[in-house]
Amino acid sequence: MSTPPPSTDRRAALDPARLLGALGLPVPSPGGGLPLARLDGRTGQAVTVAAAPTPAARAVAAQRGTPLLVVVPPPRAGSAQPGGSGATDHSTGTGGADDLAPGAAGAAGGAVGTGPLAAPMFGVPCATGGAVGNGNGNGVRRPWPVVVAASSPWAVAGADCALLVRARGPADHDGLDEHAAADLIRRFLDLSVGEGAAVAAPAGPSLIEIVPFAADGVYDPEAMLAALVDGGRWVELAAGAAGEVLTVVARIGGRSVGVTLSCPGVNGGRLTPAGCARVERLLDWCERGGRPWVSLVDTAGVEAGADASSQEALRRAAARARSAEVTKLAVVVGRAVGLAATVLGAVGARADLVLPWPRARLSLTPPPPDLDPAEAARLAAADRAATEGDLLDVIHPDETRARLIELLDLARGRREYGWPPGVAR
Amino acid sequence: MADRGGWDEALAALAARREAGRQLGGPAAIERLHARGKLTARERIGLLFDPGTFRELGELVTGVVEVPGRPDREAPADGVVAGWGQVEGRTVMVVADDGTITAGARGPGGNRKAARIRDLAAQNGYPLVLLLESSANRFQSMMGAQFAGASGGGSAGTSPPAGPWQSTGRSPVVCAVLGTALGAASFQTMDAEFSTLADGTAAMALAGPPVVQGGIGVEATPQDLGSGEVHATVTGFIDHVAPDETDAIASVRRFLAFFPSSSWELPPRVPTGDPAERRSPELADLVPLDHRKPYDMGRVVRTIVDHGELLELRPRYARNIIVGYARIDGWTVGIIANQPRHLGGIVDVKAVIKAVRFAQICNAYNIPLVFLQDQPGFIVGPDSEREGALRQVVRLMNTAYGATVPMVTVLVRKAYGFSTWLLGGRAVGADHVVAWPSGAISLAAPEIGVATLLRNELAQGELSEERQLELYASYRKMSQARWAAYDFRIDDVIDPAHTRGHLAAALAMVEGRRRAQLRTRRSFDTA
Repeated sequence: MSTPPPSTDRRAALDPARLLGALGLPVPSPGGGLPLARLDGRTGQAVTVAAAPTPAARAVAAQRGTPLLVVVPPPRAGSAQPGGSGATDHSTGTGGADDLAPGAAGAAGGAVGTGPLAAPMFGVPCATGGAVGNGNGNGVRRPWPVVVAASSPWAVAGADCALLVRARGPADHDGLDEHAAADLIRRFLDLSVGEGAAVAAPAGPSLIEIVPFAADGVYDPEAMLAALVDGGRWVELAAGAAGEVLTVVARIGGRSVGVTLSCPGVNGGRLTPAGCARVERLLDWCERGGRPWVSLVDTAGVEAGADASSQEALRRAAARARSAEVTKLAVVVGRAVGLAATVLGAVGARADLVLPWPRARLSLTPPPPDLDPAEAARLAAADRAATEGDLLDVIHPDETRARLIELLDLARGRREYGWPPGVAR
Repeated sequence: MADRGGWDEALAALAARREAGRQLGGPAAIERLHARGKLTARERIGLLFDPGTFRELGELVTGVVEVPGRPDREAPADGVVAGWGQVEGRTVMVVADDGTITAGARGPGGNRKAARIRDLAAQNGYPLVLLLESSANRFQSMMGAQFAGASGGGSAGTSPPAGPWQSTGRSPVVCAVLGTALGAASFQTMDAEFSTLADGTAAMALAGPPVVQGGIGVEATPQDLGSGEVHATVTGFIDHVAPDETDAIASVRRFLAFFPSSSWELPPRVPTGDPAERRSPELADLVPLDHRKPYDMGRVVRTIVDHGELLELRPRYARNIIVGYARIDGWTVGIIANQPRHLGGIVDVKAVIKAVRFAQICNAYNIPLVFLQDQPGFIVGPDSEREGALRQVVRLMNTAYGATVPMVTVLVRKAYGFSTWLLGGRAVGADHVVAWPSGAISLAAPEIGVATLLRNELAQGELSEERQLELYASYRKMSQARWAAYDFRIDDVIDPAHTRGHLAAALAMVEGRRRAQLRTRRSFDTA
């Protein structure tokens, strides 16, 4: 995603009352604290509503066992600017920062964790960890998601679902109006909170009608995804941040999962540093909430530059994929080449199981130009790896959803009990 | 439109490969196996799991058997069938060796498959059942320097090497020895939470006949080295020696039904339909009041537990003590009971070895221990000292004092000596101790007390027989369990007919404590 400068047009700022109204939530009175309410009156998900994702607000939401919905009011004229010290006590959320009254958040950006954290987040949208409160970094469990809607990129950085309303900038979704934001919030919470929701069977054609057999064939990855996730519904995270890989929140068999999805139509699905950052962000989300990671892999390798930062981004993402303490299931849909295959969980990422399709090709490098293509295909074929026991199955594409559901069930023990002992969570 | 033709060809090839894998070594090899009274890996798995629940992994793995001077031949499944299924509705992982290929020896692909299943079981907290043939690496695949890189039971490369022994006390590993288990297979069996062996067609030893012949020049068959009889009566290494493979696998199912999937769960409570308050008036008739008269404690146990069902372990080893799993009011319990029918129920070295391992496993898996005591104390004398009695008594002491699982004890008759404390006494923190009216508690039996205290008088003939009998009677009276109940050193003296109800109530009382202690890993040792 390009990162245009954040909007500073306060005339087009988020209207909290309109957003809350679109969600069917009451608009709290000034000084009313942190309301606990249900979306759409009494029928929807219970949420704790706040004006800033302060540690105090997060603690209250966690205690209540609800997601935290933060609707950040636009700053009052003359209030402190992001990154400044402002007048708000960031560690406790005092000074009215939790209050939804317009301008009560004071330095809206500054209220999101500490000021200095916000600036580095700007260049890598919603990258690892987050500036929300102090809950960034690996290993911090936050089962209840934090959703932030604001008009300032500084205010949304690090949220589990970051929405920029009437503003452009780095976020999961930007340029939204209040109704579009409400729709996304509703869908995100529906897909990410709770377990065992009703399973809706996806409709659509056979996957072998969607995906060509040739390993380098191009197809519509979203059509494939629609056939695999419950109801064909998902919410994208970091939408548009890197076109070669999509990262989405969805349900499979009723279970909330994070999904990475290669897009072979975008430069063969070759991973860029931005794509790596996207994958890392999804892994953070999975790990914080103890959610499985499902990866649908079809990548011709990496598109890293020769510069050290690109190499470092790849190395870090590969290490992150290996170390993530979540259930990891990889479906090799097409190609799985080199370090990109590790970043996407297909090779050397300690996946619980890797399920290749018959068209899958796995290799350390792209085939050398002087190698006979037929021989190159034979050497890289998933079928060959399955014969030797390096992979333990090759599946019919139309079995994919059923196999994923089965494997997610198998991992249930670990997710419920924090198994195995000794793993820090 | 997608390239449907390519798909069809690939999917047809896949189906054909799967079908070939299902044939294992082929009809002739299967017939030879059957002729020896053995089953194929798939038949064994069919007996293990609830019908239609087996999900195979690595069905496409195919090895190559290479022997110099002979044509190579394919090894479908590469000697291992693996996956998971349901036992009484609960998920269990399985690795089954295929006796139709190179006598159950595994190729590299088969090894990777087995390691992956083992990892999945350990990582997710599921029981792992190993249906073992030889379970060794195929000899030719280990010839040469590549032996240096062999893991001997390590992982599939997806996690640090881990043998099943590293999951002791985490999720149960069950070994069914159904062929000649040597080396790694025997190590795994020694560490398993439950082991069974099919008598006559299976054996277990550290090393096989060729190695024994080459090493010490002794000719021996696998049965000489480690038959069911040897392990049932001499070593006590196998929990259940079965008459055949079908019974061996049935015992695995029975064992798993008692156990939780991992040490972080409580064992499943299964409604059995046997009323908790069922009275058992026949118990008073089963146990003679005369402490010297033998009786069958096994009958006492079976009268108390749900429907008389007891999975007794190592029944022909250290027959003076009974250990096994049963249910009381649906709760899984571990029974440790002295058997007065053998050696008067004395606690000897073998009995301690048997009891300690059992108690440690129960402690690891949150299974309450129920003790039924009728024992004259630890065996003493030069023989037992040379057998290392002291070490074993201290092991029992450490196990008993370290146990966190609830303990409930019934003093059925005599309860003499330090062993009274260690086999579920108040001293080691037993939750509930009751006695029957026939119960007697003392440091020693009256005869030993008199012989010790009046040693000089006895030696000089100053103690008449009549006086001795008077003293015995006096000590017997002093030892009656009711005196301990009067000042609350035990909880109660109960009518034997009510034993079951008392135990059920005590188990219900301690459930909260068991839940609070979940997530504490308590491993066990091998001996």
